[in-house]
Amino acid sequence: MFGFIIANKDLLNEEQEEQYSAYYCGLCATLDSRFGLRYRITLSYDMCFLALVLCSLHEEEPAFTECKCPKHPIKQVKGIRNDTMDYVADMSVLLTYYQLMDSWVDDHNIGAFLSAKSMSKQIQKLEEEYPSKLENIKRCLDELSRIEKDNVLNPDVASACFGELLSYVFLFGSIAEDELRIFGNLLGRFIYIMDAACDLRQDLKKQQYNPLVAIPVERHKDILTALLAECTDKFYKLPVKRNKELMENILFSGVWTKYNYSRQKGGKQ
Amino acid sequence: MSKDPYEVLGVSRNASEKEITAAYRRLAKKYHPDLNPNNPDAQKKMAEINVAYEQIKSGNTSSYTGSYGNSRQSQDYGPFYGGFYQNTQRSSGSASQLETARHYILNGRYREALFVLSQYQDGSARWYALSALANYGVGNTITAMEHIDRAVQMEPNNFEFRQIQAQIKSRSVVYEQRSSQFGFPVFGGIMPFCWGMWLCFNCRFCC
Repeated sequence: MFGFIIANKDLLNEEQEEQYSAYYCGLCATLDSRFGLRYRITLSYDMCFLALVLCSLHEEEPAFTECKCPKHPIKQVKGIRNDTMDYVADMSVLLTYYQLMDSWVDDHNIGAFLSAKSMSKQIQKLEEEYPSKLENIKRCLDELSRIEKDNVLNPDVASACFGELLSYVFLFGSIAEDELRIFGNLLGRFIYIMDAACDLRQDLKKQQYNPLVAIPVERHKDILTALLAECTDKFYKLPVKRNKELMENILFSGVWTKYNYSRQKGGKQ
Repeated sequence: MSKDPYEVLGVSRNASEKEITAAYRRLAKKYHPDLNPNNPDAQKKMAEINVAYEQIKSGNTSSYTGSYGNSRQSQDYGPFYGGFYQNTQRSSGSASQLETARHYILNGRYREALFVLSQYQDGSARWYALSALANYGVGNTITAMEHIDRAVQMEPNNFEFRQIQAQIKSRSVVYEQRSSQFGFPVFGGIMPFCWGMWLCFNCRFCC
């Protein structure tokens, strides 16, 4: 994924930081045990946020377990491992695979192709596990590549498509299905446009599709705020049992980290 | 008032979809204000290019016979830049059509409203205001914002349009209030990615 949905570490208290890293490390360890060491690369903060949201809906508090970390070979780290984490790990691997395949089809990136090919055994297993969900996700991806090829200038078209895709990713378990779907959809719209805003110059130079090309740059911030405002409005409809402040930190502050970074970098050029 | 869209993009009338898009992207690279901050005409030129491109794509040119027009787009989204280039064709009868669209909106039938609006674009401020409401209703937040701002820009003293604008932006106001309590992330506060993972990935043949 893109790594936009990240916490603002400066504002986390000790307990929140412990929780956040337990989800991050737990997801990383789950990727290793389910798929193998090198699948830890598919780890992202976006998927960590998905794990946070899904785990926050359950009554019982997820327990910490000791996990091994390749970065700290001697020390053990605290991580969370459960069914939800397994699901999020599966989605991380699948979305990374689709992204690699997309990069191969669009840009003929041979490295992406080889990486994707090396994952094919695990992907086949996953595709049998979530047939209808993946059918929907693939349909959205096909539609998205059609929109990109058609060069549709209205940013709502492509962002709605990506929103639909993410709504299927967020749909897990039997708690608050509708609320999750709607929240996932709105977050997806935001992520897609955020990615476009951060990549605009690069896309223009490479003459590639960007949904914000026809919208003056000074309006981007307002648009992103509006999309995120719709999303956070629905966040409060979720029956969240824990880690609410941590997720608020992400949605109200952390998500702007990369954007502010890319704007500052852009200003210097 | 409007220029020939094919001339603006510099393509021939029988150019393929691919050629037209390629021309658009080439011109966007040349004139996009973000890449050309020192060119005072860039903004105006880019707006011209956008209009011409959408005009050709939506088939709103007299002699264009291509197969453009994304069905999904015309049903669910309507035109993005609005129909200010075709006001000669359908201005009569549009007042009652706008009234129909307004009724659909009042009853929460936003898709029907969008359909009616896409059929009768008179380029009026009222059209943009209604289009903003209908788009907001189906979740097209970005189009809604663009269109309501345009309606207010065209008729700055219209109180109703300003109310709609405030309604569409009300959640943004709530968000900004909450967000300011948190404070924005500072430059350099980017969280380090776990680089250990890269090492694992690159030694994939040994594990």
